[in-house]
Parts: sequence; structure tokens; C-alpha cells
Amino acid sequence: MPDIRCPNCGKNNPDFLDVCQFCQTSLKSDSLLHIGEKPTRKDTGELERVLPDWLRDVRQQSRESAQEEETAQSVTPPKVQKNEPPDLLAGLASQSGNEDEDIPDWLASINPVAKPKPAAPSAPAPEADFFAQFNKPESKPEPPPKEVPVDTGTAKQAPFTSEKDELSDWFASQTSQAPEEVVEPPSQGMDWARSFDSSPAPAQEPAPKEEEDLSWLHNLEEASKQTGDLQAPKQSTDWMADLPAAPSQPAGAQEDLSWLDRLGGVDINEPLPSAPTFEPQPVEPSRGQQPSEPSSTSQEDLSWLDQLGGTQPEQGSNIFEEKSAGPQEDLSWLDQFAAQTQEPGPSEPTASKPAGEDLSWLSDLGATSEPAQPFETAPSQPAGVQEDLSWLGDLGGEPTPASAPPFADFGTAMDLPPRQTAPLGDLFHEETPDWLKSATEASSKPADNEMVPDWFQGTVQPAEEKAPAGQPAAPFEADVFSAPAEPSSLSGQDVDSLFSVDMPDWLSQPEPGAGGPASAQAEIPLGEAGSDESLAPVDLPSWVQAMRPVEAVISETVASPEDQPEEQEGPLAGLRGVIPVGPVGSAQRPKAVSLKLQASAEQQAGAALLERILGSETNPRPLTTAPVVVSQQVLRWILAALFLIVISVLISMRSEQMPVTANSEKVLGISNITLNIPEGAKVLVVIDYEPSLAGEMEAVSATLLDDMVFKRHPQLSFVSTSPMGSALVERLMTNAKINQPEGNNYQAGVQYFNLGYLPGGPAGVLGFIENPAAVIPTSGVTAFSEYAAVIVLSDHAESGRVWVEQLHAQKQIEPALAGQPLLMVASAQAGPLLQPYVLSGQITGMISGLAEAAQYPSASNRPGIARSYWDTFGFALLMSIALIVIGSLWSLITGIRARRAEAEQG
Amino acid sequence: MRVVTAAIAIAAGLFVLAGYFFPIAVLADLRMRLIDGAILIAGMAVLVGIYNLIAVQMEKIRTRQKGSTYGGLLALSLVITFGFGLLYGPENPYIRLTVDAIIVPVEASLMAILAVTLIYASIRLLRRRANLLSMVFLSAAVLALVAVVPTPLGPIPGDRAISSFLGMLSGGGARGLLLGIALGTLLTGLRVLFGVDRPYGGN
Repeated sequence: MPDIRCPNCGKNNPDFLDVCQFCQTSLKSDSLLHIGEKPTRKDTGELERVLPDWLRDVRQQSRESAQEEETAQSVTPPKVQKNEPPDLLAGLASQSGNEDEDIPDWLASINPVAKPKPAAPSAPAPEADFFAQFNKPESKPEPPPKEVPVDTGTAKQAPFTSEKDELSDWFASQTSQAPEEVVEPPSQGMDWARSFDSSPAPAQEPAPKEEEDLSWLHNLEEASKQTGDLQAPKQSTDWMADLPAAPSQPAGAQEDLSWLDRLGGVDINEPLPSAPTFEPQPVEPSRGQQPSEPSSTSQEDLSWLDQLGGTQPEQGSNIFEEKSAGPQEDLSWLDQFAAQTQEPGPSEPTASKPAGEDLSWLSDLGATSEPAQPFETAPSQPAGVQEDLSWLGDLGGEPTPASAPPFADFGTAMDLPPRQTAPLGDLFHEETPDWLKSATEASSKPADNEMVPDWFQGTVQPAEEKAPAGQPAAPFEADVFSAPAEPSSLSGQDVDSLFSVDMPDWLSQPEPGAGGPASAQAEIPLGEAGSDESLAPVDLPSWVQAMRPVEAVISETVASPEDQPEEQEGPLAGLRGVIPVGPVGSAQRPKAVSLKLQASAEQQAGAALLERILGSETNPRPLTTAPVVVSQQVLRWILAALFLIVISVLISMRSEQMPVTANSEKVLGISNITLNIPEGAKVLVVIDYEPSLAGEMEAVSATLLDDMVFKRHPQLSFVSTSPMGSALVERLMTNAKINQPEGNNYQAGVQYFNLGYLPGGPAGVLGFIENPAAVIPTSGVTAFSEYAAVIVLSDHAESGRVWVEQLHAQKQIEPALAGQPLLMVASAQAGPLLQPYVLSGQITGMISGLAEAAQYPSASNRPGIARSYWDTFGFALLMSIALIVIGSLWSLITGIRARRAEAEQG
Repeated sequence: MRVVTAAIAIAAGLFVLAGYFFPIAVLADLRMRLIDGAILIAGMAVLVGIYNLIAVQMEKIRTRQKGSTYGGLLALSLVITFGFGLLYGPENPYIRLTVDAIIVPVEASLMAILAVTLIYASIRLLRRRANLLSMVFLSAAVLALVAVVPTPLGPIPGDRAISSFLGMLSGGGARGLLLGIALGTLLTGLRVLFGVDRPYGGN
């Protein structure tokens, strides 16, 4: 009986119960669907109680976040959603897989309160650690301000404005701002950006990502409060308000970098001009194509950056007007950071400096680097906005036409002065806000060469080396950090997109000893020297590396990164196993595959045989002619000649010297039977032999007939069951000398009658026996019983058998036939087969062969044919016996010898 | 039609068989008539065979096949002999000359070649197959010849014993053959009576 499980307590209950017997819960739930019933609509919220706890928590968190988003959206005006191209930099924010890496190291090191996150040798950091990743190649603790990952080369280091209220006001304004709606980059990429949009309280939402993204800002805020560097945001706010309408720009860039706007304390109530999306695409030709486009929109978006640096919005607007590249403005603050890395110590913000000058480094961030300027060259003086951001452009090293840094377009478009790549020096300390200065104080002043991150230097240097061959990786770098299609102004959205793009593996590559990507890259062979690839191994993106065949990768797996030497210079300085050490040349080449067909020896032998067979088909074969004379034919001739000679001689001699065997009882009995035939009685003589044996039959039968005729003078009636029998009657009578005058002188038609041929075989015999006159009218008898005797002359047992069987059957019917003797004269070959009839009494007497015929006593004492044949017969028979015996022995011996010889050869 | 032929054959056989067991005059008369009919048919069958022989040979001559010359000679001789035989009878000297000079010698010569061939085969027998059966066969043949061979010195002693011994073996074998033949003949007759075998056609 099926049981029902209680939904409450989970215990089984009989099905006939309606209520659980344990907890009294109704078992017949209305929600159960019975057959034929339509399901009732239920609110899924009612079923939440059955959900597992972890799922409930997630649902709760999602509800809360949704509510928060709704509230934020209600406060801030919704942004016009634009179709933005995918922000490649969006993944920058999602690179981090570790909470510890969310906070950029350079930021973490800036703020003494916040614990500086060590350069992570672990997995690549999310977008929040975009800048921290730049510090990863360095095995040593990296000074935060040094590793600014900007490869524009045109970003100019600008002093930070360390106004205290700027950041704090910005943070306060962020609490009521709506979150970014139109951020196209991946959500992971924008998490870091979105984190800035949320309020401090929401920043600590259950979503750990958002909290991570904002924590460093909080720390910055606190630091700035201490140092009083956050005053600029107000100005920046005004500055942002005074910004003209931004020209058409890639909407995605501006929208993506909106969070940067909010970072700078932009009034969210102010509708931001529609800004084009930031599109960091590797369109080299597009670089510099927008040199003169004003970037007012990006200017507005990047106002927060100006505020970060304590810049005034007015000057910032001027700055952005002059500039043409949006990303430059967005990353101007990065210029300042770079300046910090170069010049430790300076922490006095130049409050007197106009806002534009303060954010100049950000504006130059996206600018293209000037070809003439090496990236390592230190900026001379912050001569303006362009100069401020030049350090960012120089971060990518000396740019080349084929490997233009990402922000190259911005530099050329804006006609920026040469960027400062030199250490910041005192100017940095004057211009940078206090909160940034504090971060840079602890950092050591790197050398000029070390100002630029190694990875960044490496991208530029390989680009320089392989300029003729072209470097897809370099454009990729440019794509990452540049917006070629953007105007000069760098909006907050652009900056968002910059940092939200998925970091390439070569940028996000962890320190040596890290996980898969690094090891996968390490497996890349050094066979590029022998191959036609134009990319340097280090420049290969991960997706290209993933396309390599596994076997090649496996076979080409080199030693573990730990076993490989550490790079000493270049962008891979400090890394291990990035470029696997392996033999270059034939060892890396795939093994040659033999084109020969692998065939075994047996198969080859079969193929050769088939080939010979096919070849022999066209070759004429010599006909093997048999010899004219063969040994076998010779032997036959000899035997034939021997018999002919011997027999001819003997016959011609008419010799009768051989003694005849004594009369046997059987033969004597036949003689007595003939004596019992009445005188002149009719005797039926059946001739059933062929002409081939006529000689033997005549010799055997002639004696009997002659004796009978001599003694009883019967009337002979000859009948034959074979067509030639009737033709042999006369021959018999002549040879037997019965119709000869020297013999009995029988006359045909008088003493002997030739009845002819009796057709029908057994039927004819039967018919003749039953009614001779009906079958043969000229028989002269009315009944068969009128014949006194029947003599059957046969050379084969068949005819004799027929007569025996038919006659015996008739004798059973007619008693008159009982005393009628049946004499059989048979050849030597038929005698043995008719012997049983003799032994059974069905045949009265039988003479078989010449030997018995010779033994028949003749009353006339006339020698019969048999006697004349006896000597010849004897000698021929003896010769035959001799030949058989001797020949057989000879054949036996030769056969044994031949087989022995074959066995020996064999 | 097949049923009719089968019925006729079966009826005729039954009548003949019944006539053997039931000595009723009607049956006997009917049997005699059926037998006479069989004799006539058999006689005509010989003529039909002769005609078929001529027709085949004539066809070979017409299509000019290999051996058509011999076929023509055969047909000619047949016609001549048949004609003379009908006209003059078998006792005519020319017919007898034909028989004595051509038919009998030809067939006798074939029988003589057989004798030589048998001796040659017996000589080669042990070379081809030297086993016990071959030796026994040759021994039996030699003994049979020895038992009947006349010698200048008279009969070989023990020839009669050998003859009796061999006769005993041959007699037993012959009886076996005859019994087999008899049984086969009986079975064939029964099959015809039952309609199982229809040698006359209709299968």
C-alpha cells in the first residue's frame, strides 16, 4: 500500500489518511495536482520556505541589492541607454579573483591606513586590481605610485590636488547617485566602477565585490581627510558644470566611465551630455583621426578625476578643450601617480594651480605618446595639461608607428607637449594631494627605466624590435588602453571602460609561480624564431595560446617555471617561465611521418605473388606436349604383340597336347540330361549373347548341341531376346557343324528353325512362355510345354536370370512344365552369377566357360571347338598369369623405389 | 493428363499382378493382352531407336559436326543392311557375310583389346596403389586363372579345391547381388503400382 509522505514532518503515512498522524498536517494538499485537474497558479514566494538556506540567503541578498538599486535609480536620473560597443577594458575590473587583490596595490600603498596589498603572486586580479597587476611583475614590494599601468606614453604626470573636501564630497554625492545603467562592459568589469557609484553604506553591501571596490576609496577618503586634500571636488563639480556639451563621442566610453564622474563628485542631477561609448578597439588608423574633436563630454565625465587631483573644473574644462582624446583626461590622475613614483616625497599639492593643470596628467593619460619622446624620459616641468599627462604616454616607452600605445591617438590629436617621464620631483610634491603624497612617500624613487612598469616597458621594447613584422599584441595594448575612435576628451565613462576591459593575460599575468595562465604561457615554445609568426611569445594573447594543439603544447612542455631562470630585464623582468626555455630548431619540429606504406613481410610476400600472377597473365606459357610414345603405350603394344604372336602360333599349329581336365560330375550330369530328351523332340534354344563373345559361346555351346543333336536329333527352335541373336544362329550351326554335311547336316526350316527376335524383354519371355503361338506364330507350338528342353545360351547373367525367373514362375502354374529341363550355357563371366540358380535347382545344368565345355564328353568323339581352343587357351592363360605376377612384382618394386626417392627428395 | 497416365500404368500393373495370384480367365486374358501390347511397344521401340540413331547422324551431317562422316557411313550401312535384311531374310548369304565378316570380328576385336587392357591394368595396379586390397584382388584373380589353366603337365593339383573355394566366395557374392536385384525389382514395381515413380512421364 503506497504511503504518503508528510510535507511537514516528512514521515510516511498511509494513503487513506487525510491528516498526518504525527504532526496532524493535512496530507491532501490542495497544491497536489490530481489527474484531470488543472494546476492552480501559485506564488513562488510561498514556496520559499522549502528552499534550502543557502538559496534563501542568495534570494535575500538579491532582493536587497535590487532594492538598493531601485532607490539609487530613483535618486539619480536614468541615463540614456546607448548602444555601446563592448568595453574591452571592462574586464579589468573582473580580473581579480582574490579579495586581497581588489584594492590596487598602488592605491593600497598610498594610503597608510589601508594595508597595502602585496603584489599578488596569485591569480590575476579583477578590474579593481588593474593597477595592482602592474606591480605584480616585480617580485619586490612595489611602490604604489610606480606601477601605473598606462601605456599611452602621453599621459603626463600631473601633481595631485590634495584638497581634502573634494573626495569626501564626492563620496557623499555618490550615496544618492543612481548606479550605472548603461555600462556595456561586463558586469564584472564594471563592478569596480560601480563600486564608486554606490554610497558608502551600499559599498558595504553583502556583495563583497562592491565593498572591495570602495574600500580603497574609503581609505583614500580618510587619508585625504587627514591631509585635507579633498577640497577640489567642489571645484571640480563646478568645473564639471561649466564644461561645454561634449561632442559626439563613442557613447560607450562616456557611459562606461560615468562612475569616474561620480568619483569626482559630479552632480548627478545634472544630466550628463550624451557621450559616445568608449571603444577601445585596435584601430590603429583611427588613432589620431580625431585630433580635433572636442571632448567636452569626456571632460565632464572625468571631472571627478580632476577633483581627485584637486584640479579646478574651469581649468579642467580648458584642459579638455585643448585635448582631443578622452582617455587622456580620465587617466590624468594616473599621471599624477606616475609622477609620484618618479619623485618620492612631494606631497604638497599645488592648490594654487588651476584645476586644469591638476588634472592634466589625467588628460594626458589617453593621449598618444609622442614619437620623439622616449617613455623613460622624465617630464621636465608640468608646463600644462599636456605636460602633466605626458608621463602616462611615456609609460609605454618609445612608441612606434606599428606599436603605438593605446592612447597614442589622444596625444597626437591634442598636440600635447612632451610628456614628462622623469620622476616627479618637487613638482609632484607640490601638486599632488596629500592623500596621494602619503602614498608616494613610502615609495622609492625608481629609476627612469623602472618608472614604467616592466610589463609596459616590455610591450614597447618588443614593439620596437619587431616593428617591421608588426605586432598584434601592441595594437592590443593600444586597444586596451586607448579609444582610437574617441575624441580628445576623456570622460569618466571612458576611464571606466579603460579599466573595465578584460585584462590581457600578459598584463594580468601573475608572478612566476602563479596558476594556469602563466604556466600555459610558459609552455609556448621558443620556436618562433623558426616559424613565420610575427608575434613575440610574450605578446600572444591567451586565446591564441589556447588554440595551440595540446600535443604540441604537451610535447613542448618545458620545465616548470620554477626551474627556469628569472627574466632580468624587459617587461618580463622578474617573471619566470613566461617564455619557456626549450630547444629551437628541429627538436621542436613535428616528427616526420613516413609516407611509406607499413606492410608486414607476409603482406609484402602476398603482394609480390599477386604481382607475379598478374605479370604471368600476359606472358605466353609454353605448351607441354606429351611425347608421342609413352611408356604405358609401349607396354600395351608389347603385351598385345605378345598375345598375338603366341596365340597365332598356337592356333596355326592346331596343337592339342595339353591334357584336359577330367570330367566333372556337373558336366556328366548335363550329358545325362540330354540323353533324356525324347528323340526328335522340340528343343528351344535361346541365343542371348552378343557377337563380341560369339567365339567363346560358340566354342562352349557347340559341344553340347552337337552331342544332343547327335544323340537325339531334336528339332531345334532358335529364339533370341537380342536383335543380333537371330543373326548368330547360322554361325553357330555352322561352327558347331550341325548344319554341315560332315556333321549332323541339319537343314534350316526343317530340323532347326530360327524364330527370330523376341522383343519385350521379360514381358516377351513371359508371353512366349504362356502362349508361344501368340507371340511368335511361326513357333510351331501351341504351348511352351511342347518343348522338351530349353537351352539358354547367354554371355550375361541378366538374360539367363529372366528366363529362369519366368520359366520357374510358369512351372508353378503349369505342372506340365515341371519336368522340362532348363540348361544354361554361359560364358565364364556369367557363370558365377548364375551358379546360385544352379544350386537352387532352377537351372538343371550349366556349362560355364571353355574349361567345362572341354570336359563335356562327346558321344560323337568329334573334337569340338573347345578342344581345339584348349591348348591356345592354356598357353594364353599361362602367359597372362605370368605377366600378371611378374608385372605386379615389378610394379611393386618400382613403386616402392619411386616413393622412397620422393621421400628422400622431399 | 498426368493422372490418366498414372492410372493406366497402375491399372495395368494391378491386373497383371492379380492375374498371377488369381487364376481367373478374364484376368489371364487381360494379362495376356497387356503383355502382348508391351511386346509390341517394345518391338516398336527398337525401330524408334533405329530411327533416332539415323536422325542424329543425319543432324550431325547437316550441321557438319565433327564425326559426321562416320555418322553418314553408319546411316548408309544401316539402311543397306536393313533393306537387304527385309528383302532377303537373315539367312541370306550376303547378310551372313556381313555378320560374319564385319559385325562379329569387330566386336570380337574389342573384346580382345579388353583382355590386353585387363592384363596391363593388373600389372600397373600395385604401382598405383600398393595396398592390401589390391594385393588380395590380384591374388584372387591369379588363383582363379590358375584353377582353370591347363598346363602341359596336366591340371594343377588342388585346382578343384581352389575352384570350390573361389566358387564359394563368388557364389555368395552372386547370391547377394541377385537378392538385391530381386528386392530392387520388387520395390520398383511397387513404386510404380503406387504411383510414386512414373517413368513413363508426368512428374
